[in-house]
Amino acid sequence: MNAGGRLTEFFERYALLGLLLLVGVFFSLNPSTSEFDSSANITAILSNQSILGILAIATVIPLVTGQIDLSVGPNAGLTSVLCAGLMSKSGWPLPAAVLAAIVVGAVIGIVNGILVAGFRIPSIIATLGMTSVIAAIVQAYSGGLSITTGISPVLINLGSGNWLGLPKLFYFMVGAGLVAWYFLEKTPLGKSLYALGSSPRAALLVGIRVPRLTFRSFVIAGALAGGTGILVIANVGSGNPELGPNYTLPAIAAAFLGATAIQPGRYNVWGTITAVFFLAESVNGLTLWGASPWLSELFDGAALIIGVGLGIYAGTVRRRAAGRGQEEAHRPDSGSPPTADSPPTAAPDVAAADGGEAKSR
Amino acid sequence: MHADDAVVPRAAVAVRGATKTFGHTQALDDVHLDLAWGEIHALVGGNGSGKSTLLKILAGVQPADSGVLETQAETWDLSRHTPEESARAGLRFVHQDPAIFPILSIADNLGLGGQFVRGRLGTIRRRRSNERAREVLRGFDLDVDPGMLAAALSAPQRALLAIGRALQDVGESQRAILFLDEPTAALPAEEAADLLRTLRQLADSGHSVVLVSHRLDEVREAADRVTCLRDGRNAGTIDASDLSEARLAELILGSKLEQTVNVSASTVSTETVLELRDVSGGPIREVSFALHRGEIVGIAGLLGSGRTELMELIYGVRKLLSGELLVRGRPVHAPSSSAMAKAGVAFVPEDRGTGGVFPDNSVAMNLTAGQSRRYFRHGWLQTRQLAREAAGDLSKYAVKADSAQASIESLSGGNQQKVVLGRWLRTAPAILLLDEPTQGIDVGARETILTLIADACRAGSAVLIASSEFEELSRLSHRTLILSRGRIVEEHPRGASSHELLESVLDNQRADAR
Repeated sequence: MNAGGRLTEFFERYALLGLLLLVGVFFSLNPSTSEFDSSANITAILSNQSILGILAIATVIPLVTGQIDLSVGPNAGLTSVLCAGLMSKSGWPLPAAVLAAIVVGAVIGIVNGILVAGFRIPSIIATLGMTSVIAAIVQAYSGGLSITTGISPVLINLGSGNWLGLPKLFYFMVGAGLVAWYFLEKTPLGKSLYALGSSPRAALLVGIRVPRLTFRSFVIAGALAGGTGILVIANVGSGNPELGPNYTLPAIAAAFLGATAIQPGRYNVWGTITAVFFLAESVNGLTLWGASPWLSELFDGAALIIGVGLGIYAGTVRRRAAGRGQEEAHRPDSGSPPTADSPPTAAPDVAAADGGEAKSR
Repeated sequence: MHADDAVVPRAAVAVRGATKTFGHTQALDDVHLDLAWGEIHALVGGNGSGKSTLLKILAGVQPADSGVLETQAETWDLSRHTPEESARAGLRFVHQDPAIFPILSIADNLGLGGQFVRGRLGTIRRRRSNERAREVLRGFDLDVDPGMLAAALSAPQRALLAIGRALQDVGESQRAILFLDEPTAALPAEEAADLLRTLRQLADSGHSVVLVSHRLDEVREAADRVTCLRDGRNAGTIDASDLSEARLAELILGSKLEQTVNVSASTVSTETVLELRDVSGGPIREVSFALHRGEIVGIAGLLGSGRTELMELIYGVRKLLSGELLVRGRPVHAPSSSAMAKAGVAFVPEDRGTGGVFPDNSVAMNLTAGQSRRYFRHGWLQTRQLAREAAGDLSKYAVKADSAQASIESLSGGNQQKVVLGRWLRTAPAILLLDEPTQGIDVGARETILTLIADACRAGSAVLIASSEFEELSRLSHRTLILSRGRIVEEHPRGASSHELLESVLDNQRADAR
């Protein structure tokens, strides 16, 4: 590759990270946003966004296989209410409540996985429906009221204070990120997940167990979301039934925007985390500068659209750069699987690739 | 064959000095093309020779760097050519994927070419549209109900519909220049011949037909003249009367083709590695045969005979209804692709684009997909070792790629297929299932792939190969099974000529129809 190509690649990889630093420096130096670089503000950003970061990582795992999980945020909302409720109403000890939250999260993932991998319901539909089911369960269990008393102080304590100068919750996100990165990038499982996302049929034909892997990606996402629910209690100090759905769009926006950074063209852990913090600090800085609170919703929506748009644009550029070979390479047909360049929308027939009826002629 | 118009025919259009570069690659370099009315002109060349680029430029979907298109009336600048100008110059195109929409009616498929009959409010007038469609289609010997969904059409009928759509606005007295990109790629021999007859009729009625094709036998049969491109330059235009397949292959490759692959001579072991006993499922009915170590067995049959389904059944991606499947003597009870892959069975599917390659990934990833377990040690994927071995295997399988990290899409179709085949060959499979392994690739890459198959067989793999190129089966196979309507109806020993195979296939088709 020539120097120009390398420079372009470097820029593509680190543009978002550079932007993250640039925006940070800007708001730190800006006299109108003097609170931006106060330690209280930075701690607040790191704490709050760590929750979102883990949920975004949970979103990335099904996305890698070409599926989308819209129920990750509500799942965390449910388990936070449940975990708080079990301690408060039923008097469960913390470890049991934590375990219950993770199990319930995983069960939601199992149901999603069965619907998508077993019954071949498009993931966007299955998990959208799940979102509403979860909302109903949350209302039924909590009666719409926050659970503020009887929560283990150990858990509350986790939400405040630092370890080695960084908020405690931040370490959970870094831990989740490292584990997810290890599995996605350094194990055969991760390679199979990416292969499946690239072409379900080709994956099936090289011997990858497509339905099982699809199922697992949802279970992992569900369990991770369930665990995050516990951290939500730590972060806000209560089990709040309104909270869960608010995480859905930001998490998905970060995952899509993250696919344009660090490893451009594919959903990846570090790109996603970069995107989470880029969005958060931009909104935070602008709010301190006097912008209205609705700005964050505007930002998340724009980030989602721009993330997907950039992915498609970068994909086109890369393909064009591929030059002559592309000219007579295969034509992608309508059955091509969702990738970072073409996100899953209507009905990616991933699970359809298993046993039964393969493509007939 | 058509010697009477060997005299310089009346020129329809001429392309002069077409030049196009992509980055550092010269895709077209001063290419010229002369087309005459009333002829079938074949455009041939290897993958990446520039045929597709030339077509895209002429269709006005991609600008040339320079060049002109001359018709009798006008001269068009190809660097500013648009689809509208292309249509006004009389050029019509049928692309490789004919873009027939199966969920729309036949009339709607025609109407989408821009020719709906509309009422006053702009609404489509159903009955008039249908009448018009019927009229257009009758001109192409396609007597079908225009209200029917296009999904009901057979592959050759769809091809005719696409041609009808391209030519529907050409009046009785007008003449068009019709470009067809690999129109027969998806058709079996007999139906391809029907389509070629239709093209001949079009040429006889005065149109000019340009046929882009990889099938050399078909070019030789159908074309009046042949223009060959090689590496973006003209390699020559010759009369069909001077044409032999060897000459044509030489023109395309720029050197003599060594047809050295011949495995039939190698010895077959008596060790059975795959056995089917009364296997049924999908369209397959009670198929029984055995495959031995070091043996190549061909499967010949027309489209719809169940070739692909048989392969899929063995590989476990199609449900086995009854019968027994034995791999190396052991019965497989619930075949699945993962179990089969583990048992040393390899499958190269017919649909390279959707089932063979992993798009948006590197060549190295494509070469090692599904094999990363082999590189997982000490809890860590050994990426450097993987990259090194992948790079080494590129030369082993004669893959032309800039590097192992290049995108799979930057490779030509033939090289992509070498990667897909190589992916399995590096696992030294006991059984190699190949469905149309040379479909849509140029003669050079084809020879390489046949050589690789022969080498694998010599190394002990048992090969089952389905192909509509009977000449390949005749050259490679120790035996060829004739498949018709899901049953094996005949077996030909080694040495059966491609002609015998074709006769046998057609005879059985006719017998079945009765």
